[in-house]
Amino acid sequence: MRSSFSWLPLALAHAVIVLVVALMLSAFLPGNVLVGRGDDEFLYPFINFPMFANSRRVDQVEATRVTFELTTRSGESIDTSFHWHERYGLQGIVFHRRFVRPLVRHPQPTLRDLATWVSRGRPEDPVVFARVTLQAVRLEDGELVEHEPRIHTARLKSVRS
Amino acid sequence: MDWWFPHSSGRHLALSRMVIVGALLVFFFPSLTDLKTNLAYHDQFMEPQMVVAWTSSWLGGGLPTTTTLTAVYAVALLSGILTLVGFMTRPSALVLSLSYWWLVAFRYSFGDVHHPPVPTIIFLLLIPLTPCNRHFSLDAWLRRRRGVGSLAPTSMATWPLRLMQVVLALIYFDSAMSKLTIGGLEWMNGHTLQANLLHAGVTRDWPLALTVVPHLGLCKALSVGTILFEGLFFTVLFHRRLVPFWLSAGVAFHLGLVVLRRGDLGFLAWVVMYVVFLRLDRWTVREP
Repeated sequence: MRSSFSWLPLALAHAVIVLVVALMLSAFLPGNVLVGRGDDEFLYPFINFPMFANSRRVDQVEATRVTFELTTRSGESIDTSFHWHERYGLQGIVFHRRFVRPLVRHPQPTLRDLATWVSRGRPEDPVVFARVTLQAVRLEDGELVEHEPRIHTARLKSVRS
Repeated sequence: MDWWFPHSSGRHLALSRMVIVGALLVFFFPSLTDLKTNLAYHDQFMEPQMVVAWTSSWLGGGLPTTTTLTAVYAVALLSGILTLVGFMTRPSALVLSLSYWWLVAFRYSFGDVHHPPVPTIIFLLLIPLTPCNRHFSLDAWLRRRRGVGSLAPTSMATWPLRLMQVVLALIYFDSAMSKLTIGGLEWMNGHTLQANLLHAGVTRDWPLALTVVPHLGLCKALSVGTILFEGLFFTVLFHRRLVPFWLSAGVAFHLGLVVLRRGDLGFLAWVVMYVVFLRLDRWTVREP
């Protein structure tokens, strides 16, 4: 039996090589259906690798420093340092898309939404006070310039999860 | 054929198994607490990946329970340890690859997808098909205790290493091509990197990134270096002498990303994957 199927590992290896290389190469094709990033469904780990592909002009070198202060009913101040949102089930892109970007145009309802979200995991001690400081930082004439911060506050009498 | 299937002892494959699985278990394994947090805050998947969607539909739809998640995690951890020490190596590697794949897919089904685990998952999916247990494993030790003689060289122990070399080259090349086709040559104008570093410095509270931002010339040089590295890394496949150069460049590239941008430490798993390029088959350490 062993000799009859001795070709099998080699054939399998060839098939796997062709399959994996084909999946990787398909990432180069436009409109591919199996691989892609940001599609509704895709077969991780066979995904595209755009990796910060968009270019920027000099007038687009800007960012907004967003600083949160969240206080719970018991008076606890929630630690909102580096990547704090991941402790509340919010991964980076989702956090920015759902909360950080809307803060610029709709600060009050967005702060309330954020407080509600954070309170979901701690209903016994919900967030009752939320403040955000937005500060634009731009590159102007080769120097980083920090603009006047804007502060928005939301007080929440009760937050339901 | 000789490039994919040369005869070898299998030591390089076995050492790669140990290095990559060991690094995964010690440095890059996902946190169970983080995975459970997703269950606590979400009622459903945001963008379920195929693997997760398939298993979810088998289990009646919806999110898995905390018990199921913990069980998969425990299975992945245990099979990882068995793969590392080489006990029932190939079945263990198969279980590890499937369970780790699922855990990563689960984590990335909540709206955010990242690349760091990609090479590791592909490697883990390959090794159950290979004689990865011929050396540096409990399986090999038990075989020797049973008095089975030394194994003849095999032609099946190099192709997964070669395939990972090709995969890494394709990933880097894809990254360079994406930048040049989407961003154009302007991607290297220096302002693109300035904007990227400014965003990283401000959102991650990282002063080092902000100190680099005003230096346009340095940002241009780093941008050009990135395109050259990603676009030309594939030449490592054709010229063996280029291996030290490109691997050193890769280490500098990934460490630079981590240090300058306070980037994801998970990308250092790609540096660990460089073990597939090293010539370890002549390893002469006496095995127990």
